[in-house]
Amino acid sequence: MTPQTAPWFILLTPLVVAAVILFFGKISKPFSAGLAIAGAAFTCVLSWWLFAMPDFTDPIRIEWIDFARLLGPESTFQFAVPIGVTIDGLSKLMLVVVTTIATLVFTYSVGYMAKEEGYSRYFAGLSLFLFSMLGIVLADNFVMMFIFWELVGVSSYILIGHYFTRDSAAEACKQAFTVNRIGDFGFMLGILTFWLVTGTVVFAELEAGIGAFPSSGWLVAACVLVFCGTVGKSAQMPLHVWLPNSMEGPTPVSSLLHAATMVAAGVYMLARIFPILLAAPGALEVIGWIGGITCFAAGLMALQQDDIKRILAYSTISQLGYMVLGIAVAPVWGVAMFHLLTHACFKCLLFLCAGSVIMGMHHEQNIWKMGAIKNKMPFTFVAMVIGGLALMGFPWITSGYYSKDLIIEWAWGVGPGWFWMAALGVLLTALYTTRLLWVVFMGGPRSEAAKKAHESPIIMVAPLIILAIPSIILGFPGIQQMFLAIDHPHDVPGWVPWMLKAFVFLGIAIVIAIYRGAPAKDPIVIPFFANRLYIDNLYAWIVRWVQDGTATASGFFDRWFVDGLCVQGGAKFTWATGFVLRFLQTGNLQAYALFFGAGVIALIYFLIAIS
Amino acid sequence: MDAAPTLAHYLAVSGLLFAIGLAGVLLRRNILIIFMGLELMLNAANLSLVAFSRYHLTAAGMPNYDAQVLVFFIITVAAAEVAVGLAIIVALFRVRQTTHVEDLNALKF
Repeated sequence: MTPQTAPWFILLTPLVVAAVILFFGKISKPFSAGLAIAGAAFTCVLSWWLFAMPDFTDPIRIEWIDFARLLGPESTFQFAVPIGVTIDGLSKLMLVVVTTIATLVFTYSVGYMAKEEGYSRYFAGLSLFLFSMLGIVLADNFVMMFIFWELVGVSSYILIGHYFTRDSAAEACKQAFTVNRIGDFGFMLGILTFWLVTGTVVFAELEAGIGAFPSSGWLVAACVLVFCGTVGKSAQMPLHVWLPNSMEGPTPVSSLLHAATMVAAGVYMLARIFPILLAAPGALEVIGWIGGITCFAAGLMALQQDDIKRILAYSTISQLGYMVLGIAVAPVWGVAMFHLLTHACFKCLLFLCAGSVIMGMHHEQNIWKMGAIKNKMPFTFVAMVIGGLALMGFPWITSGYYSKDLIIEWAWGVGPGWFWMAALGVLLTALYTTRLLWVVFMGGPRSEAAKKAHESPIIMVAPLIILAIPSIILGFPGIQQMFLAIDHPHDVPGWVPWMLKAFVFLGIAIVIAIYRGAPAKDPIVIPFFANRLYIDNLYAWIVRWVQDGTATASGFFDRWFVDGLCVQGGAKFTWATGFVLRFLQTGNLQAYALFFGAGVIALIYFLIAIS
Repeated sequence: MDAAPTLAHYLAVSGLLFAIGLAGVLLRRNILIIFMGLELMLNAANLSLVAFSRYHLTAAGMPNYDAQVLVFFIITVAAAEVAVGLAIIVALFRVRQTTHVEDLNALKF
């Protein structure tokens, strides 16, 4: 195998694995799991190998749709969609992140899903997801990326709805797909706009083609439309509502799809078109505001959640907001991708720990039923504390500190609004993360399950330990430089980093002061935050009035106009005419003769009258 | 008294015959009589045709024989029709033992 063929092996292996598991998964559980893990590990090894190789342009590139060949080069309709891979610093980094985390989560799933229904269906879904995600990473044009973009949506739908017999899971997967469709519609319009103006959808050619835009307003509009895809996939405000509900899926799915990789695809896509975004400052303005508002508002919502996975879900939304903000504020995509990289490690770790806690607590997810399990689950406890500290950005010793501070420092130079939303987001992160860790692990046990909690099997603990290491060291400048080249801002005042450090310690101190006495329920109740700023209620209200209103109106039209007037009206008229005319059928021969004679006379009369 | 009859006289007799035939068809009960009424109406038509033939001369001063040929056709077809009609009536009588139309009312609402 050469580096030139490796990306295609990476892309297609999970697809083959998914198909084999789908058709032959009934053989045995270890067969499905083993094949999926082997496939993921194979892509992982190839990715790391490729990571060490120099960049190259894809020699295998297939011209998939090519109207120039079909209609001749003189035709005015030129549309070409190749299927090809991009191998550059960005995609190599993302390949490594996705395949490594996928391998760990696949392994963890063996322990987590051991007693669950639909074991091989689960692993087939995971492999299909891996294929789709790698397709997004490797795509060298918008259309191919969009296809895989929809494919991750499908695999996400399948995996969220894994327990489809549960109503909440069935609703959640439907909601996730529908909300993503809204964003994807904008994404599609954006792609079409780019194609209409520049005549190409290939990333490498787009950058040269943006000169063809008639005005900067068009470019900004196209970029914002494409950004709609990110808003949907990366759960930015106002389309964030699906991500917390997607926690209905199995926890490893939440970890892989809805924390580490799939939701980061939106940020990856922005990094992929970063040179184009730099030419459209107006679009960066929109992106920055959405990212800033998301990272702050989702932090507020996370403060008052009681479900361990939902807290992490809102924190994911918040951290994705940081990444999107990072795209908007920094002159290189590396800043956002650095946070994506560290976040993928520590958030995946946190979710896997949460899964371990949930299993140890016999499928209890309410943190107010937990407590005092740090001695019963020592490995999970240590790993989750490491993940939590990295999420907070605990100074100096965690990866999250380096990546998050970098984004906030870049935001300083752009505007006070974005800077303060991001900086206060640090305080919020410290608050909700410490609350989560403290309530789950410290204090006294709040239920029987908490007293009987037990550590998870080794196959689940091992990935935690492996992920804990990069969660700490990935941000250290020497290690970070192996993955990314990053600029640091120069004009940031000295007090800014210190304020951020102070926010972290302040958040930890406030939470410990409030929750120290092992309360049985939350001593602080803020309904506005607990009800997620009432955004979900607002959407439910809009759906109820707009959708139900439309449904009522069209139902009325259908029932009374189409059914009543056209269908039943026609039938009733025919029936009524027949009912009246049948009285003429008297059975009297001479009456018929009379009618006949009268008819002839009338006919003659009219013929004479009109002539 | 001017004895020469005009076209109007013939048409009046023809119309009278037609009316008598129609009245017979509409009013009489016996299907044989109704049948005779029908024949009367046919012959009323024949009479008017012959009258038209006689009074609408061609350019050569000859009667218009088209109408008279048509009359022969009508008589021929009427003869065939009478044969068929009487056969139907005989067959009907064998089945229903009646020739009164008010008894033949099975096909009704």
